[in-house]
Amino acid sequence: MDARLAAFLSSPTLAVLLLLSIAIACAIGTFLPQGADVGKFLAAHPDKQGVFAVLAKLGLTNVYSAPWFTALLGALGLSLVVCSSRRCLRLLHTRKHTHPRAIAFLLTHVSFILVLAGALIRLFWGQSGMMALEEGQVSNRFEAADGTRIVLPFSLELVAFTIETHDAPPAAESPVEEKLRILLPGTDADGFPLPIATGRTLFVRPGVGAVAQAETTNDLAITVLQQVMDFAFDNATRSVISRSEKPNNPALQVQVVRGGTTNQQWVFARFPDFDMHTAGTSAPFKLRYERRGDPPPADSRAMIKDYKSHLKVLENGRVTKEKVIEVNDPLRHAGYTVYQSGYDQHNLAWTSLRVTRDPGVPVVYAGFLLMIIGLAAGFFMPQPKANPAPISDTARESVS
Amino acid sequence: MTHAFNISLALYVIAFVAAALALTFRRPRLERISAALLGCGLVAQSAYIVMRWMAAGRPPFSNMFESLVLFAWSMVAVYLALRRRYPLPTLSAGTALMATVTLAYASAFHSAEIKPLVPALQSNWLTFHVLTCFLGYGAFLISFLTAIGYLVLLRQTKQGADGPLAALEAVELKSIAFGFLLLTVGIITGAVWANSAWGTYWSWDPKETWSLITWIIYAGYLHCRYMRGWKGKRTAWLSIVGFACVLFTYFGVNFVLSGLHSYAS
Repeated sequence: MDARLAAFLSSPTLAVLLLLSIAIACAIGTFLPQGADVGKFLAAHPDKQGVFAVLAKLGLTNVYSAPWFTALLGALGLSLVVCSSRRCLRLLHTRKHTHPRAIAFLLTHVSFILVLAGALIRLFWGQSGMMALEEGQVSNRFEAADGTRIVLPFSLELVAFTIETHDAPPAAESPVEEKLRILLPGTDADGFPLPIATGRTLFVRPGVGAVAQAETTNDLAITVLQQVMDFAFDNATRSVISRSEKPNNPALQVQVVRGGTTNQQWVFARFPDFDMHTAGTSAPFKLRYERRGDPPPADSRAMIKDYKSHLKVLENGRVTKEKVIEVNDPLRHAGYTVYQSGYDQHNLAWTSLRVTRDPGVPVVYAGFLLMIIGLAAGFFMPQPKANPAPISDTARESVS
Repeated sequence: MTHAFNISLALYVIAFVAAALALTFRRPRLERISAALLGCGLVAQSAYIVMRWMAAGRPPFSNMFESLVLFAWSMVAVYLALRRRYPLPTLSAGTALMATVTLAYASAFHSAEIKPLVPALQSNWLTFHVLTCFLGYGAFLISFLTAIGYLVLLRQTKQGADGPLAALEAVELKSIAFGFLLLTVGIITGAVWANSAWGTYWSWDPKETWSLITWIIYAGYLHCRYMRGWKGKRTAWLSIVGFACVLFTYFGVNFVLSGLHSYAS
């Protein structure tokens, strides 16, 4: 390689410029929607189509996969290779006078080359995708992000999927507070609160509040017909049921009569923006069911302790491996790794698995290890020159 | 447990007052008292972290409140480690002030309720990853304070190479070198953990990306310092830019970028 070209490629100035460019590109990628998020963003902001068409042409809506970004990383890798090679040659020529720190920093640069090499291996030879399995189901295929189906050299059977929950916190010492709030257009934004008494009819006059009885056509007659603690809708019987006595999904069926028009709807304490009409059309008012003091529902995310999939690996009809996997504890077999990814909240017999194969991981990990060793040795080894002397009292006073 | 938190906060406040008085009245003895109070506050805060760890049954590093407590702990720990060689009153005052502000913000705006860990965080990597990252952040805070002190002092006086400006520069370099190593370990442990949890060591997640940007800025600082001989104002400003990236990685990603990306969630 021409000496001047080698000097340019290994110069700290080029390295800093490349690092800065990569940093700016990375930052852009965090502020602009990327990849699949672009479609969701444009669905919410259709007026931005033109702008995003331009951004897409510049590769700014897929920064981390853009050719120019890959070229920046490649240039950095090349700079590192040339820089490290020249340093290595220099060290070999002057080995008697070489300070160990120089070797340590050389190792650090080589480690970064390894990390980039490992990433390159993943790019060309890595595989990754998702597999959904139902209990008892066997499959040997998973689907990559681009829709490609990849066949595994073995099959996976989901024996069982289990969810563990944390113990519910002890009941609050103070009683649960609940109220039904009615929000009428043009009145107080917080609405008018009503006590909850199943079967009892209360009368509300807009702008006034609770009244003894309905006297005008604008007055509302509000009756709580039912209260359930754990609302669910049984598709088989087409009826509302309560799954338990625990307040996992408290709901009220409320009837509102106004000027001869009857409206019935279910309102939900845990979903204030959602209601379910069972009679009458949408009403020109909003009902809100408020409860304070309930523990979190048993199936809420906050209560999930762990979720696990009991898997069997099948090869030629025989079980060759069996493992219960969970997040942070995957199954490894034949170069593939199977991770517990998620599950279906509405059907707990299903599990969602991520399957990957990345031959670059050992190279990347070797780079990581070398990087830590190189940096630690480089920074903590004694410097060739004397350290700055500790600050004297006179200097300390003049600093203040 | 709450008493230990309040005691550490109170000690940091008093340490700041002592350091501020030391600066105003040029009393080195008050600076030593301030450092001692910071040390006592660190012990109280360590006790709080240990008690919270025992009460929760898991490392107390999983939410904003706990991370802010760890951040305050880290900055004081790094400062006291550096102070043995470089006792600088401005650094004492700055560290005490930042520790006070951090703990006060944590208690005022974030719930101290102990909640169970979600499955993804149930790993020993949580301790290594979060601890190394926050020790790194603490070191970068110290470098930020020394950079500010350097720039202020530079305006007030012209000092030679042996003066206190040189000491501030030395602290800035050492704290960045220490912080850079810890941030590197933090990013690496995060990557290894991500690979064992989700099957990919790098997914260009905003938090990961901004930690890489922070790493790049400080890598640039070290290159400019060691290879190009940069010193003085330039490196001080670069240190400030680096800490701005630290703050964005810590807070900005959670509060600014989460808002930007909320359409996708």
